[in-house]
Amino acid sequence: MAPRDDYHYNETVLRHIADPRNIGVIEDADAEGSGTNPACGDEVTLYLKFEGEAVTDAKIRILGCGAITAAMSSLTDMVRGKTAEELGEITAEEIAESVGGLPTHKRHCATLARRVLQNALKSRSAS
Amino acid sequence: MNTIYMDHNATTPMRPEVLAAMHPYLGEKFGNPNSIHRYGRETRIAIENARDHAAALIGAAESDEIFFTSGGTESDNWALRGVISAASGKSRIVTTAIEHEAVLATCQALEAEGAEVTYVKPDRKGRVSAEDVAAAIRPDTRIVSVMWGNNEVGTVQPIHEIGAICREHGILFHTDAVQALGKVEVDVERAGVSLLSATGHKINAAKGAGFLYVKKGTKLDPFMTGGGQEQKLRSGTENVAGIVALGEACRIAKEEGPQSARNVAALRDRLENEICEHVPDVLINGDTDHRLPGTSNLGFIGAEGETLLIRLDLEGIAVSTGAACSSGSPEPSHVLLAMDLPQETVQGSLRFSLGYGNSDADIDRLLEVLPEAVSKVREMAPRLKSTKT
Repeated sequence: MAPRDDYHYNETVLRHIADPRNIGVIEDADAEGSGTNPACGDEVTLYLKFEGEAVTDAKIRILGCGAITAAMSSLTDMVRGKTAEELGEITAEEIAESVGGLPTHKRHCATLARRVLQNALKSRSAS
Repeated sequence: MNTIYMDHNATTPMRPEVLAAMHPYLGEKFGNPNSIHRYGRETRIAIENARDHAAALIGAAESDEIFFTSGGTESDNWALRGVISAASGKSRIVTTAIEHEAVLATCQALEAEGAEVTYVKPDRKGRVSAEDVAAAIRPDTRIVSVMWGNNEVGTVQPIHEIGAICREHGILFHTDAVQALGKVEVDVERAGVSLLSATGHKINAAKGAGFLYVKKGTKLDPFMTGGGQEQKLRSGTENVAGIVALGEACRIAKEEGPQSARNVAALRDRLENEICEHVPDVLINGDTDHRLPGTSNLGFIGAEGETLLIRLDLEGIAVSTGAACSSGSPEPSHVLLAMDLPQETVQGSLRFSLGYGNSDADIDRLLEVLPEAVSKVREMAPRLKSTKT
């Protein structure tokens, strides 16, 4: 069932926007992925550091709306300790759920977050 | 937390006098104004007084040119649909690309029904030229619809010039004056306006009551049919309390409007000047020579409007953004896009709209919070796009 208020952000999303986690750059990142949403101009870059097979650090840069900020901020926590294979299985729905859900008109931000993660994984396998 | 409201173009707080005026009509004065008995007579008088105040505010020749509606959206719908429905043969509408959605979506619906619509583009300051409107007029043009003042950037349109052109061509002229009413001088007779939309909640009255001014002799079909209220043109039992509030707000606006506008414009100018002084890379969106007194739309280059809005909201300051992803639509503001502003200006735009209740202390507080908020949001931006790190 759709939430009663499918327009505004929930408290979890607002907390992420007020204080997004892991903003920054990993200079010697093992993986780096970017993505944009041409319709609204959002731009995101994700940096990942691996030790062995598992992610030990994740950082982000964002020029984007509240939803993409929250989705990426949360994603930097989700990816820690996971292997590349496990990261590949993270869905947009899981990203949205990790922030308590996003309004319907903002779901594309979770899709962009997943695409950025996928792009980062591709960069790792290519290097 | 002390909160500061700087979103008066979205809606306004009710003034205590207005609330006091409407209050009895939510309680003991509950009569249906169409009833013959004393209960009905009492509310009928209240509605007719409100009509007089609305007519006086806009310079209408007669009070019975005011038809109460549920608000701006209904008034816009009725004006356009009512004129097209009453006209025979092929219909063409001339409007602008920066109208409120109530006009744009109605025009699109009428297009689907066979009308032809021309959307005149504004300049980069959001102003439409009267010449461009004139050039778009064809022999089968039934109505020209141009908003008096724009809700997003505040640009005031050349209404008197467009009114003169319409009069010359014998074409009806509708204006959505929802944002302009009470803020700039609105005189329908001088401006050559045939139909004017207005709503109470933008002028410190209640939501749910507005009006459509219809100049005598205008051919207009009813939009709401039923019991024949409002001279058989707008059926439905009147929203008495809302209409009383609207009337009282019109009375106050007539009395205090010019002075309030000067005060609000001074506050807005201070806000704008000091933001531009304390925050680098800020652009003013709109026409500073032709602008509603309380509106300031600013583009914070290299930042994102919604994120800024939420940071301000968490500090208790309420503003708005017309930028991408802000209003249930993934597309950026149609107004800023029609002005051909660069993407980064559109993306980083915030609208501050001041009004009743705002003070210098509010501007002081905003200036304590905003520079740091902008700087933090800019610091988050990806390296290549960022202009400030």
